[in-house]
Amino acid sequence: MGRNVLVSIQNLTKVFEKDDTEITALQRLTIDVFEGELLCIVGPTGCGKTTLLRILAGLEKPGSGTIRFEGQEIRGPAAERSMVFQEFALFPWRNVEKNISFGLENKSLTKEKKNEIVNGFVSLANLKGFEHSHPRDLSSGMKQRVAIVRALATDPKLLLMDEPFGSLDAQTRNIMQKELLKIWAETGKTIVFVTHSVDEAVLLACRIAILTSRPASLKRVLEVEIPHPRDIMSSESIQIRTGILKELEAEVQKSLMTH
Amino acid sequence: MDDGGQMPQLKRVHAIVVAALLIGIGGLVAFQLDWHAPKATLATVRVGWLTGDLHHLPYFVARDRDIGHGRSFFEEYGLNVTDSSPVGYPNGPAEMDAIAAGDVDVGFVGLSPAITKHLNAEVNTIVVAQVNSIGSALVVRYPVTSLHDLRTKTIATPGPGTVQYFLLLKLIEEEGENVADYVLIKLAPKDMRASMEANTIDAFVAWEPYCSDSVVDNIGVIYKNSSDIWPNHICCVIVVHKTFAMDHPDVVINFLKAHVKATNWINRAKDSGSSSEDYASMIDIAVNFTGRSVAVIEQALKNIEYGYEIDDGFMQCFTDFTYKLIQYEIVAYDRIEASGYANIYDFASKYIDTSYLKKAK
Amino acid sequence: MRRETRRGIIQVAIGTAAVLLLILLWDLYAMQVDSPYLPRPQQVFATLVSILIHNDKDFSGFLISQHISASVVRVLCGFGLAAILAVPIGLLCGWLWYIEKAISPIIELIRPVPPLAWIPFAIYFFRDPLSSIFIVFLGVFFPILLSTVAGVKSIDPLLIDAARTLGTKGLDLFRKVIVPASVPSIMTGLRIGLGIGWMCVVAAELVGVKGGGLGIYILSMSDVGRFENVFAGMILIGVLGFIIMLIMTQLERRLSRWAGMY
Repeated sequence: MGRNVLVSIQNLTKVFEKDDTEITALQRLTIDVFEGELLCIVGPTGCGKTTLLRILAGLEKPGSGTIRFEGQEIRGPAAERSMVFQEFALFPWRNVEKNISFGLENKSLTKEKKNEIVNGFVSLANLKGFEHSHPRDLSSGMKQRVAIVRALATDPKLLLMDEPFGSLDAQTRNIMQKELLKIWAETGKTIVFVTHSVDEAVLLACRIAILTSRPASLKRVLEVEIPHPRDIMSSESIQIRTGILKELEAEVQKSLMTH
Repeated sequence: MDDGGQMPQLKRVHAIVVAALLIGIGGLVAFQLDWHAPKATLATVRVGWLTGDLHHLPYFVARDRDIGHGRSFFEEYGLNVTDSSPVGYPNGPAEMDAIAAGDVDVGFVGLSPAITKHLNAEVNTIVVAQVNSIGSALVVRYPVTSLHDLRTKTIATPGPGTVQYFLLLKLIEEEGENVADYVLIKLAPKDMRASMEANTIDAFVAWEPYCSDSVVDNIGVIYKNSSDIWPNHICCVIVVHKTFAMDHPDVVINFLKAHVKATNWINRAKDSGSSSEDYASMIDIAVNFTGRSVAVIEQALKNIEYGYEIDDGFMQCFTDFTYKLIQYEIVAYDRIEASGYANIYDFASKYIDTSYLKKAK
Repeated sequence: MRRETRRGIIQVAIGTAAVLLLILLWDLYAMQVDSPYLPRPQQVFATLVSILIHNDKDFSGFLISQHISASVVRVLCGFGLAAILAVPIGLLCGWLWYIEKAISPIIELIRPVPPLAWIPFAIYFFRDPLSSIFIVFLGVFFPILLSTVAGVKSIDPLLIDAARTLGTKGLDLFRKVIVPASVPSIMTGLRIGLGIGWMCVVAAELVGVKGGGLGIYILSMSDVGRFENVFAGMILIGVLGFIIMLIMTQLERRLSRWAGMY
């Protein structure tokens, strides 16, 4: 894991207008994302984590401040920064194969090459035999697996994940977390992972960025140096976890008092 | 009073004299009123006719007060006629529907709807007199050599139940064509000229004066007069609601008396030449109720024969009409028997009632 | 017996019972009115059966089968024309707000005018067969257009986000996401539009048509007083409309299944 900066966020501010009132989602947020890392972003509910992710994806425009991807300003969405959504967002009229190959369709590759890539990801996601199934026939866990490999099929430099396991039950969630780590290990992608589950963050992340309550800025970044696979019950884990939870609680108290 | 016995006697005399005077005056007054109030004894008849149909000229002549010197022929025979529809009916079938609905007592109507609606829809009428023969035409926008040229063109008729439509079918049959090849639409004759001018139709079949109206102003030319399609064919007849006829036979007879007088008057006016006073009055009446110009009326009158008779020729034409209406399937084949007639001749003899006309002549 | 099958049978039974009740009421009323202008159901059905079996030419020169096919063809043409125009326009209006803003006032002005009112216009500007197809077109166009626009607008925004983050934009986005996602709404609009188009048949044929038609049939029979045929024609129109709707609903279901929404 190198320390090359893939994304550089400087003093990012984002204001929304809703019904005549202004809501500041992000306030002078500054953070870097390093190549190859799995960065988790945690923070109180509604603090603006999703907004940050959407700006990274290019789905929202930054208000003020800069956000650079590989040194260039982000101008809009692109396949090199693909995203996985909590609600899966699979195309219901396409089967598994066609969902995965969606992003490949505008690339100039031979048909054989495309099939190869798709098959590879089908295997990676343990979906052999379901290539021709439609999303409505899949379980939630399977759907999310499709969503993840769909996002990976375009060989993005950055994978953005917005509470991807939030819709899953606890067991499936556990399995998916392990799957994700496996996929991450095999592909070596840079992943920015938003979650409000501290456990999940501790389990997965190289670094954890803790955001303040709205308007969100960076409260603290901490490195998690426990090697994968991690035991969430180990004392180290518990310590880190407790620390983060305390800070989050403090943030929540603060927001209750000021709002 | 304190006169005692004498008073009652005087009083009685007074009372008798006054009473006698009152009765006498009252009687005279009543007598006078009775004599000089024809309106109170006029029978009211609701009459139906077709919008702007020059065939129905006898009706308007019989209504006119000027030629009767202050009294119309109808009034002369004790009738107060009212129009069931102030503007007339757009076609015969519509008028027959109105008769069925009870809105019309006596109707001037084409022979086709008179037969068709009676047989198909059991409209309870009888035929009591003729009104006219011939007097319709197929008018085309530009000259054609045969009906064949009008295939795929649009021809307007007043509707499938009318004499005009029937004549068109006969023409199609005669020229060996197939009715399925023609685009036929239904229009009221008063709207046909405008459609022709607007090029939305290429031809129409209508009653006079609407044919001459287009020809005189060069909107179209006559392809065939109905007299060429079926020489001397009966066109319009007078029908009476049967119940009305049975309840008021005298009214019907008087109506026909006025009709006979009007028809004779018209024929004399036509024969007397364009310089006679009656001729001018006739043109005047016609112009008024049709809304056409003098030139158009004069031209149209040449194409119509007015007559009230029900003779052998009439009966023959009537039977032929019925036969053909069944052949063309305008009248359903089983309707003669379903209506209670043994056959077409039985139908003709029962549906046409000449007893009223005989008493009216 | 499976629950669905039992449900289905009960459904058909209830429907049939309702129709029979209606026919009974008709009979009672007709007996009371006792006029050829309102024939009794027995007469009408006897006439209907006779017409269908014999399939003879009537005084307009056409067989009942020709009347039926003429009307069906007219409606399908008007429907097809409307669908070809309304679906793309609807997709564009749903996707590009400025196109919607531009077209919307025109649509809202024209839409409330019933197709019947356009007859003089149709007669003047078009000739058969376009004049009757035009009337049908007007009835069909607007439901399809509005359904399509609604379909586009109700697309889950996340699907669009997902597509964009996979590098799809512009025309590709329109083609690969907007269009397929709108298919169920489009199908609903087509079904509704076809139903309305069939209802326009009688009005459409008033403009003067060649080749017969059920609308012309009814009007002509009414003119000569053959009311059993009029009612028989009306029943034919109703039954055919019912069948058309049945077919359309099946198609709609199939395509919705393809679109994964069902």
